[in-house]
Amino acid sequence: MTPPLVTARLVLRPPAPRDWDAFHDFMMSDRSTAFGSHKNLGRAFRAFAAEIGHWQIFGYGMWAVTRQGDDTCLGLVGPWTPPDWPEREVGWMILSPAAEGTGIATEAARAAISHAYDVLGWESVVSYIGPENHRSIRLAEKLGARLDPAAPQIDAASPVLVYRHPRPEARA
Amino acid sequence: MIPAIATERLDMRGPLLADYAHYAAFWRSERSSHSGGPLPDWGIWLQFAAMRGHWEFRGFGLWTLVERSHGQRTLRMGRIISYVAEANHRSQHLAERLGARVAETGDHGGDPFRISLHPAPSPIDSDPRPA
Repeated sequence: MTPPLVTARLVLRPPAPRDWDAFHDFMMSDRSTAFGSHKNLGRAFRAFAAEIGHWQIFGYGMWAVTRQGDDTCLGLVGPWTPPDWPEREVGWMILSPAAEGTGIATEAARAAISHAYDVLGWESVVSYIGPENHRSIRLAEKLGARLDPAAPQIDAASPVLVYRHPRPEARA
Repeated sequence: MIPAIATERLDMRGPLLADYAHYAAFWRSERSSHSGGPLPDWGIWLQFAAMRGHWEFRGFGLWTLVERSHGQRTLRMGRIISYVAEANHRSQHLAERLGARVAETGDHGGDPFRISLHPAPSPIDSDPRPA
């Protein structure tokens, strides 16, 4: 069993089948257009099952972000490493509209990035961000990540922004 | 835990990362056209990881089949109903050989498909114990 990551306000734990309702509501809403499974129940289920499968395959994956004392999944933040990607990512999605603007994505991402460097032993951590995803770009910058224009792309035909995260000890 | 099953020629086990290259090659090829492919790389990974996650979510799912003599991964399967595209004659033949009966027909985004129902196994092979 993977122990949870505990931050000032949050508990990050592996996602579980009970998180499906929160994930489903997000995927069926207009807030999920960036994730390619917008309002498509089959794809939404596949995307959710993939979050759980990622943990089974690698022993790590995106964390379900919850508030201390409330197990409701508010978002998914953490490692996402398809075998054919050039580098290992820490990604994020905030499921609950009420959780936006509360700083929990920042708090969770800091913990997940530190964990990737210090516990998983990654050499480098990037986030792949769509060029139009301004909220995500702001979050990457708030985390101290730097745009790396020389980083290899996942798919040269549809380039994305690659933000590289500093090691925790190098954070400003 | 995903139960492993050994048949006369096959080892059936949960999908592993080592299966991915083989799996992705199928989903990039035209051979996957009856199953909704070919898929882009991101979609292939999502589907592969989802196949593994399905076991945790439902307690059952698709097995990876390894032909014992080859050590080579072949297919995936493991349900008691089969969705088969109307145009996928090979899969329809397989469903018929397994004794499945067409229970329903439908349409998925303009592609007609059949849902075949597989019979309960006969008593002699009804207890596929984990290997």
